Amino acid sequence: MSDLTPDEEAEVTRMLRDLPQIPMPDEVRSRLDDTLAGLVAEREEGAPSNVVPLRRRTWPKVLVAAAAVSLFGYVGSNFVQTQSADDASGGATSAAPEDAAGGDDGEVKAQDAAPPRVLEPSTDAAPGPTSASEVQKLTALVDLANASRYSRASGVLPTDGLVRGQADYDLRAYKVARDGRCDRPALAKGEQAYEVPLGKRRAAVVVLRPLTANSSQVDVYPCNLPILPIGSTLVLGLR
Amino acid sequence: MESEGLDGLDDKALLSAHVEGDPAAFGVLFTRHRDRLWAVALRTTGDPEDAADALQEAMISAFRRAGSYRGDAAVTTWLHRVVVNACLDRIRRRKTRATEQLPDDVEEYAGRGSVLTAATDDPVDAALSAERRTAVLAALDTLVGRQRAALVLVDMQGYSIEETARILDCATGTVKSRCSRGRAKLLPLLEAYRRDARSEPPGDAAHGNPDPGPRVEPETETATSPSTNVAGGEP
Repeated sequence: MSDLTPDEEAEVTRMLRDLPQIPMPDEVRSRLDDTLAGLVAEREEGAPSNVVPLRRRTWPKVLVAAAAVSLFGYVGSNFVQTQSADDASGGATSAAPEDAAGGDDGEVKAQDAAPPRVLEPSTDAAPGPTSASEVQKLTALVDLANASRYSRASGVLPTDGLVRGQADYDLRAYKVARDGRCDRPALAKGEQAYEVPLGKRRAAVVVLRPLTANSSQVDVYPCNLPILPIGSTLVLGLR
Repeated sequence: MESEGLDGLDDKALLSAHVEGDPAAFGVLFTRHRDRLWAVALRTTGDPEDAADALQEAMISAFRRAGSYRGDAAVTTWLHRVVVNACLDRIRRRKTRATEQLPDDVEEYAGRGSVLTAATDDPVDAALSAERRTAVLAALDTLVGRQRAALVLVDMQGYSIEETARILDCATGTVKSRCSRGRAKLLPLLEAYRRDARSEPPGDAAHGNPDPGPRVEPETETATSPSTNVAGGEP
């Protein structure tokens, strides 16, 4: 305990209690109202909505948007290059393990112009199992890379391993275990959470939320607080 | 169920209605308590932006995890616990980022005219009062998160030791210890304003320029040093 006398303790208490009460600003009130309305809509529709803006500050949005555009371009072009190389070699080898099941039926391209960020299968090929898993993998890759960019400025996530290990990500290998290191996010029926290692015993949580029969939302969360996503992507063709 | 009918329900009934699918129940419940939750979040984080973020995170968490409420504590206790945990998490994350000048932020909000301040027409009194507020907030910001949360709940928001222990999910003795150690750390930092509070001449503080010496170095031998408190203040 402390060495303060009762009078001294009471004096500190009085000084603390004398601090003025600051009412909730209207902007915070309306922000909470908006968030609550989004949560209600999310539950009624059975699908997540954009109810969890990370912060209503401008710079992180600009940062994430810039990272999204640049990374989609970079990742998308790399991916298409990989696919092209596979096609040229008869599809015998691929960076994606799923390619062995049929690497030429699902070219994936990045849509870097249309908000929200969308990964969309090409229209000249029906999204088969291979392309779906590739989209899944690419989505995780992009979002984790986005998270990396964001975390460098915000400190929300550790960055080690996010980009370095991106080529190795396959979400299905990282399903969140009940005894996993990350907190389990709240999941609705049909949603899946994955604990993706980032290196140095750290991880992020990636959640796939089916929206329709052929689309899903992918949210990336910090490991220790899977409440607010730090990256989100709408994915078409994922089954 | 419509909102009008919900207003008459107690907290547990509202939470149950929410879990059962009522779309308006959680809103009624959260609105009922959100001003107090805001006050706790603001004083615990010391920063309006962090408080807003923490409150939003807590609301989302409570909304989605309402089914995990076991009913062994009051709903308001559970809500406070969720908010305080979100605040402490914010504080932990903030420590990994660049240092921010928190009290100024709070004062910025205070300057918007909505803050409830002591009414005074004397500009000197007003200046002293503002200076004292800033000093108290700055001193409060030196405490570790759990000490600060305990003092916010007990000394600033008036919760009992028992209720605070339930909110913080710890023993009552732990709450008492955190409060006592927190006050012991604050006292030397507020020495100048302590004299002022006793209606004695505050020395240089009367001119808006208090002697910084006593504010950082305890005058009494019994006061524990700040570094000792930080390191050993938590059980």
